[in-house]
Amino acid sequence: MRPRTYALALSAIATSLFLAVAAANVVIDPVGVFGTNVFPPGSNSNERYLRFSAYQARSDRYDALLFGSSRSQWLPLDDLSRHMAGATLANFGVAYGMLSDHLPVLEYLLRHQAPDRKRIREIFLLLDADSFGIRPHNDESLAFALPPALSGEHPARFWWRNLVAIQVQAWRGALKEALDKWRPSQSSGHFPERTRRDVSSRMVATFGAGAARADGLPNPATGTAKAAMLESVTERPGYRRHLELWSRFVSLCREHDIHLLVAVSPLSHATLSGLNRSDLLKAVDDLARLAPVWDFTDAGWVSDDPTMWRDGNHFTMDVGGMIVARVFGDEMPSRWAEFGHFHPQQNVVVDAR
Amino acid sequence: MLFPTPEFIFLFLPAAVLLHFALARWSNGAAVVGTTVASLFFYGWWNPPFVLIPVLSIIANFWLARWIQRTEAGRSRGLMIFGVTANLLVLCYFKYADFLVSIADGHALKPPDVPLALSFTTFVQIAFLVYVHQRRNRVEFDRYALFVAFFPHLIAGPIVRWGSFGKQIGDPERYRVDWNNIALGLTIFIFGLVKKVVIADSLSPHVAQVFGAASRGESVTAFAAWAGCVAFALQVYFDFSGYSDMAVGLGLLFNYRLPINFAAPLRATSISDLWRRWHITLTRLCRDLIYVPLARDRGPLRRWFSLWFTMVAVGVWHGAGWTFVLWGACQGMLLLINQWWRRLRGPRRPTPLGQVIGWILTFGSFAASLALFRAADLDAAWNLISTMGGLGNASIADLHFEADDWMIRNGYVSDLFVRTWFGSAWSMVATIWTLAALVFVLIVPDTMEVTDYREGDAQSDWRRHYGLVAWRPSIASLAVVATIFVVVFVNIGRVSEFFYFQF
Repeated sequence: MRPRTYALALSAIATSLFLAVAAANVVIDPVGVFGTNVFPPGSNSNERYLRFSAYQARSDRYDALLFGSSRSQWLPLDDLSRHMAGATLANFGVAYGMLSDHLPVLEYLLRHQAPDRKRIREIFLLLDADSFGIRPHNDESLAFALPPALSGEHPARFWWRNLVAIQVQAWRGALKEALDKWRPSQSSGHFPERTRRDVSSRMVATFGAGAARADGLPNPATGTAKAAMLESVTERPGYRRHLELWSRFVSLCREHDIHLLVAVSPLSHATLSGLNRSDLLKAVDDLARLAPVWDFTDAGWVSDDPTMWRDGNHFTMDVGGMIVARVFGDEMPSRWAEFGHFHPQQNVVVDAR
Repeated sequence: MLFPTPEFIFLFLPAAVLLHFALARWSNGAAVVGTTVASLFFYGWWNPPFVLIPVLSIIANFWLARWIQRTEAGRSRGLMIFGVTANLLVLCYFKYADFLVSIADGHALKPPDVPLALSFTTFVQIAFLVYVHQRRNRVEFDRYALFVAFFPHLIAGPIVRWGSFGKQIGDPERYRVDWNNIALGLTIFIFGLVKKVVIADSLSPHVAQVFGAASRGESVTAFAAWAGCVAFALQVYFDFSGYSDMAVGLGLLFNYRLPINFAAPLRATSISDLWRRWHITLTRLCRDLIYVPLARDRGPLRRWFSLWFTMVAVGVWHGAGWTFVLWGACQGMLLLINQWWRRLRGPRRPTPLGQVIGWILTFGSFAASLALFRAADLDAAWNLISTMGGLGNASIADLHFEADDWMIRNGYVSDLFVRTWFGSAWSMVATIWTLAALVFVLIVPDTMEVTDYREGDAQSDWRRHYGLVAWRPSIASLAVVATIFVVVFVNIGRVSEFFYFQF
């Protein structure tokens, strides 16, 4: 073989490989950022990007915001809107959503709020105490990456990363999902339920291993001594950073005269059993130093009743409805009378770092 | 921008090569300028303002070189010493200032924020000033700028010398496309990629486990300490030699032949041989600039001290901190012991058994000494070294690693065995990876053996005869190299995936 043929063939193979990957990412669009829509949006979509894009497309119609993790999917948005005097709610609830996701959105929206348009006047924030202090997930997967306008990443870099990523399982998953949607008789009513449950099991595993992940180390197995360990969220490496983000979030709301409603999600018995409960209370107290907080963390019988939970992490729509009812002072059924505790603000001095 | 990234491989590299040869059709000087600008762009990608450092450094050193060249021999020596000192001061400012201050005031050492490739460009330019002082050759600015900034050797060497690389830049025959060099260059580049991306990066998290535990003051088992150091020796070899191979391959795409930097050093059967084959361009430079001037025409005591001191300098070159000083001193002591042993033993050839024992001692001592090189501080290094010496007090770990679950569940290894021998910082999977990498080092021929590339070869008879696997442009070679590239490509492009539907 002539060296020229060899070199050109090798270059052609490399180029073809690159083009094939780029084509797969654009056509299959597993995280939904290219908007090619050849296949229907999959469950691995980059919600951070899509929700932000959706907001930008109609930014003039929103006057309230909802921030939260995947748990916020089970809050009744219509009820929420009604309680907020008919506010049009922009939903920024995203999988693994944490303050490190919410704060950049709020900062951006307030920075780009046009004076002649509707202004943001109310925010409902659903926080997850079990994820306080965990390292943000944005760099772990393209599905969690913040849009460049929020992260400060150069747009070319963002698009390049999405173009050249080899994500075989995501491609396969997106194709399989599309196939399932096109053949509803074989899978209807089954897939969404299964997927949501699976997310939560992954989240349990991830949250439980938070400290190890923060060090960038492989996860130790949980085989022999897990029961003896109760994790303290306030001792996580990122807890201090979490409080700084919280302080900034509260300050921004005050500066812009935004009414902030904060609820801390209920946790299931399964999740609570891995956490130090007195430490959780301390974490909620830390929040309440800066703003009043509704604490649903240790939800009594709700935590223990499996019918109130879609899975180990996600409560049902009934629980979501009761959270909204409690926060807005609706009359509660007698069984729910003890659901949620209000923590008034303990310290009016806001650290405005 | 790093070599093993899609943006480098698919955007920057093709653009730089095409630009070089497109400009060369117009004039060789334009190609030199174009590739210099491309190299500075490559440098600036990391941190644009820092590109001023190599630019100013190139201008200052070129100006000084011209001055040296025009000045009479007696005065030019003073100018050369001034230039060397100035370069070292700049390096000290960025790399060693915090360490030097910490010696004085005892504050905790922080990792220095060193501009990319400063150690390499500094040594390249120091060697250049010495060369100009000795040979008094005239130098053109454009050639000199490319000599220093040429992106293939910028990140991790090899350290180029004006006498070889500078001459190549001035050779007009090198500005025509040479498909032999391109075919060979692509092959060597891909071999380098696989060393770095597939092997070194796979060992990295396992090494981090052991050294991370040691730096936190946790006790590790003796097995884990030894295995961690062996894995690190392999990781650093595959990482560094992979980058060096990539540099050589990239140089060939431009028709420049950069020197070999690694000659299968982990197969060496004596520490002297290892250091003739490890980071060859640095050790030769230190030999020429430190050892020879110190030891010239002196007695054995002075030569021994010079050798030891040169290795301390090699250690300090690698990083700022007492761990690097001690690592260099340790290498110097090992070399002295080896020299005394050779004097004692005489010129007899070692037997096969002697070679095996020599390899075990050489590799073992080198790997063990790397505890100093990799450890975060002296306490962490001592934690590992004392454990390797049997002074550890690790108890049976509570947990085994998730990665070992499969083997334990299927009965290939017992949970108790894993927790007893490997502790909480090492795993069965890490052991298998490390052994596989070690076997690879010992059995699989090195890139430079397979391709028969000999530029700047080591001064030792290190090459084996691998007639069957010798590379030449053929369909079989193409299939093998393309397959390797696919594996590399999957590894560099792979992103962490998280799916709702995965489980």
